[in-house]
Order: sequence, then C-alpha cells, then structure tokens
Amino acid sequence: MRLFTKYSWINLLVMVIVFLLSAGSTNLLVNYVLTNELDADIAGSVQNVRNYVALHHQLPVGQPLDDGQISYRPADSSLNHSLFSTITLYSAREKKMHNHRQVVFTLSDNGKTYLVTIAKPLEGLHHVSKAIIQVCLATILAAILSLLLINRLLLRRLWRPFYDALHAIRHLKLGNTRDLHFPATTTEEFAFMNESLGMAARKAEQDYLLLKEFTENASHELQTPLSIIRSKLEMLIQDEDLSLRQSEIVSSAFASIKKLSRLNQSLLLLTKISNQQFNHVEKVDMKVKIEDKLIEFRELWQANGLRTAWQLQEASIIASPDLIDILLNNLLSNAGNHNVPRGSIDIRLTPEKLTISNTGSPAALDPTRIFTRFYKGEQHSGNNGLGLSIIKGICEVTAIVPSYQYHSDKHSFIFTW
Amino acid sequence: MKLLIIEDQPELSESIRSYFTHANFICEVAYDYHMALEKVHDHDYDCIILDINLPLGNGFGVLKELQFAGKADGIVIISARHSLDDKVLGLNLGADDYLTKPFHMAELAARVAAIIRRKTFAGKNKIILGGLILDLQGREVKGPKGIIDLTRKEYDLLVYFIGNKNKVVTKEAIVEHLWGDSVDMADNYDFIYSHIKNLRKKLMLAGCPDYVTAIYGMGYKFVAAEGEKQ
Repeated sequence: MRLFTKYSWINLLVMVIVFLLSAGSTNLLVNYVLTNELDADIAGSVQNVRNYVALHHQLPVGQPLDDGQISYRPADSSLNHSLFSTITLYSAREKKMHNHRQVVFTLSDNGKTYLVTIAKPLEGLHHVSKAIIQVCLATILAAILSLLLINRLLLRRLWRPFYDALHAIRHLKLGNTRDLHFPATTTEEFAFMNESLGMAARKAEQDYLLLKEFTENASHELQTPLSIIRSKLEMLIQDEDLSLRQSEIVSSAFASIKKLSRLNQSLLLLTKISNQQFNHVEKVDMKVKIEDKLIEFRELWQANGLRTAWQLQEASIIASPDLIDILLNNLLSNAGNHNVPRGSIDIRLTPEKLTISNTGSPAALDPTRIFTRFYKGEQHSGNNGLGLSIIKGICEVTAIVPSYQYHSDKHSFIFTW
Repeated sequence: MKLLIIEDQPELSESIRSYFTHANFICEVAYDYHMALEKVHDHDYDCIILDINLPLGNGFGVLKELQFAGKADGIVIISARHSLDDKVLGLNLGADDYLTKPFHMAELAARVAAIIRRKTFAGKNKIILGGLILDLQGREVKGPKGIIDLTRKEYDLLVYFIGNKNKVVTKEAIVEHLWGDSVDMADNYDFIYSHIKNLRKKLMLAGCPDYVTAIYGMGYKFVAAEGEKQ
C-alpha cells in the first residue's frame, strides 16, 4: 500500500470518528436544549392551568394548548413535584405514534384533587436529529470523495520527485555517477532527500573507485613477486647440471606458482565481474562462439581420450563478448578437467538454452553449494574452486539462469536466457 | 640485437637481462621513468620491454615520448594490470604487444623474436636454420628433403622453439603459448607430448637433425647451433 493511500485511510477513519462523535454530541446538545425549552413551555402551560383553576375554580374546558394534549383525572393524593418524562403517544395531527414530552402534576381545588397530564410533541426535535444525521453523512461522503480525488490528482503530482529519485537511484551504475541527475523540486523534504542520495552515491562511487584501485594494486603487488619467482625458476632450469631430484623440486614449485597466479587472476576477475566492469554488451552469436571454442578444446579432449558429441542450433544472446568467452572457457575446461578416463562430453545448444553434460565423479555435487566460492566437490588438485563462482557471477550480470543436474552418471550444467 | 628492459623490479629485470643475454642480445636496463626517457632518447633499440608501473612516472608516458620521437616501434608492454583498458591504451599508443605478469620467460622471448622478425624483415621474412627454412608469411616449412606438412599447432610450436633456441622451455609455457590463457587445464600436460613427438618425426623425416631434446620432468629444449638468418 502506498504511503499516501495509507495516510488517507487513517485520515479518513479519524475523520469519520470525529464526525460521528460531533454529530452525536450535537444531537444530544440540541435535544437537551430543545427539551429544556419545551419543558419551560409546558411549565408555562402548567402555570396557565393553575391560574385558570385558581380564578374560575373549575377545570379548563376544551383544548387550551395548540398542539398538546391535556387530561384530568381525580386523584387520591397530591404530588409534591411536577413529573416530567418522555413518552410515545398517538399524534392525531400526524396520525402516527410520536415522541411527546409530558408532565404530570396535581391540582387541588375545593378539596378535590386532580391529576393533570399535559403532553406536547417532540416533533421539532425529531426533525433536527434527522437533519444532523443527514448533514453528517453528507460531510463524511464529501470527505471521502475529496480525499480520493486528492490521492488521484494532487498527491501523485506531489510525490513525483520521490519516484523520480528512486528511479534514478535504481538505474545508478557505479563508475559513472556523473549520469545521476535528480529532477529539480521545490519540496524541501525531497530536495533534502535528493541531496542526501547524491552524497551517498558520490561516496559509494568514491569507495568503488578506491576498491577498484585497491584490487588492481593488490594484483600488481602479487603479480610482480610471482613474476620474479617464475623468472628465477626459469633461469634455474637453464642450468644443465640440475639433478633429477632438483628438477622435480623446481617442477613442483612451477606448478604451485601457476596455481597461485591463476587464483589471483580468478579473484581479480570475480571482483571485476561483480563491479560490472564488463559493461560493453552486444549480440553474441553463441553457435559461432562455441564452434570456435570446440576447435581448441576438441584436440585436448581427444588427447585425453574423451568422446565428444554436440548439437548446435542457431542461438544468440545480448551480453559482453568477453564474459561469454570466459564463461565458455570455464565450462568447457571444467567438462574436460572433471572427467574420467574414456569419459564423454555432450554439448547441446538450442535458441535459448545451453546444456553441457559430462561424465565425472559418480556422485552428484551439492547443488546448493556448487556455485559458492572455493567449493570443491572432492579434493581436486588442479582447480581453485573459483571456476563456478565466476560462471555464476557472469550469469548474474548477463541475466542467464544457471542450473545443475545429475542424472545417470552425468553432470549437466544448463544455462537458459 | 639491442634490447632495452624498462622494469623497476631489479630481480625481474635481471632475469630478463640474463635470459636475453644468453640468446646473444645486447641488453640495457632502466629502472625508473627518467632513466627510461634518457635511454630511449640517446639510443635506438631493436626492441623495448616496458613495464607500465614505474617509479617517477609511468610506462604510458614513456610510450607517448617514444611515439612523439617516432621511435614507437618494437615495444612489448609487460604489466601486472590484466585490464583490457590498459591493453587497448598501450596498443593504441604504438606498443606491439602486451604481456601480463606473471609471464613465462619463453613467452616473452617468443614475442620479442616475432617483433624483431617483423621489424627487420618487413613482412617477407623467412627463418633459415641449418637446412630448415620457415616462410613466416605463407606459414610454410621446408626441410632439406622438401616441404614439411605441419599442423597449425606443430608449426606454432616450431616457431616458438626457434624463438627460444637452446633454452629449456617448460611444458606449461608451451601449453599456455599454444592454447592461450583461456584453456584451464589440469596439471596433466602429457597431451603436448604427441604434438612434440609428431613435430620431431616430421622434421627428421625431412632430413633435419633431431633438434628437440626432452628434459626429464621439466620440458623441452630446441638445440641448434646456427643463428637466425634471412
């Protein structure tokens, strides 16, 4: 629910309650005032009757009251007070039951006591109550309507700078925050928000640049000693007097350096991918790309005695060609590296799906963890466990959906886009 | 052949110098930006190996100076920055090649050899090594007994070996050269054995001596007495 819809509902609820309360209290107050007025009026009638009786020593005849009713009854005892009450009586004029205010009092004349009842209709009061309720309902309805209208027209316009700013932030790409523009607004809060967002974006940009610089520098600092070690070892093996034992030692040092430098490169690559530093995209012809790769890889696979089969249909994807290159290299390298002797590799490309299946270790990998960094299904000396995280990273920035299946001794990686 | 090595790390610079000196290059070294500018202004080199991160300046500055002086020819950038932007910038500024650290010395030697061949023989170059003639443009190899039919990989391997004559080249350096950095192979490099075996067999069938010696556990060595001639 939108903020201003929420606000309107609360507003409306409070308004309805306030209106109802005020209508109720107005009604009570008016009732009270009118009843008092009527009581005073009736008291006047009572006085008239008493005066009449005192003067003429007989009860008034006929109807001395405009719209009231009066009745006399002999009584045994006299009352100390006049008793006022509200009752329902038949109104002859309106021909229906109606609320009346009545008073009961006693008169004494010539030793006779009469119980006199005077009743006057509360007709005016009824009309006033009705009017109050009508006005109240009409006001509530008008309030609801105007709120809805304000929601539709005014608030939407008032909140526009907010949504524009959200849109700008959502499409923000670190690395070019210069493109970040917030539309000008005269609303103080939004201007303040835009200023804060701009500051946060600039800060993030700064941190991003620092981080980028750091990763590049870190890589430089690592690569240089690695180059030195490698070059020194290469000098060493030029020495013809190396014993077999020494050769083996140097050889294993070479292998470790290779691993270390690959690890370093992979981490750098992951950082670059997640920093979205590969932002050049174009239409990549997957079929051509895979065919090119197969020329390279087939030779290696054949040399390792792997059977290969492929079925490629025309397919293309909008992505960074460099990333697709890395993705395919990783996938095809994995399919060969994690295979078994005389195993097989099967590649299928349809317009929106790439499936690479290969034989391998006879147990499924943990599908929830294979794409995390440094996951190794089994201790495999040749890989650093970053290959699949790189694949996942690439999939994330190019909107490819990766999945893994293990079925009848075959590991399949399926990519859809 | 004169070679200038602009690299601020003395250890790495020394390794490169030593490797190329053994291959009969005359090597000079520069350790910082100013020294590099001084050297390139005063002398002409057949090839310059240039590091990008230098004290007191950077390699791109040296490249710009070289370009300004009309000497931006025969430059290999060696950089720890594996960044496409840097590579594109370097090549646009007139560098011939870009190699990311850590590299194999043999790879650097092969790149330098290729640049020197291109510079010296202006495209119509041939390598003549004893009875072996390589036409680099037509990618054709002739032995004493006639044309040798080599596969693409075997041919690349031969050129690579010739660029690293009399040096021990590791198997992983060969793999990286032939298949590039992209192919991440497990530790097993035995598959290159068949390529080398076929190359040796074809060369010997064509009447060449057995140039390639296997160095146990390490790699291979291309042994040839004569220098490279046109």
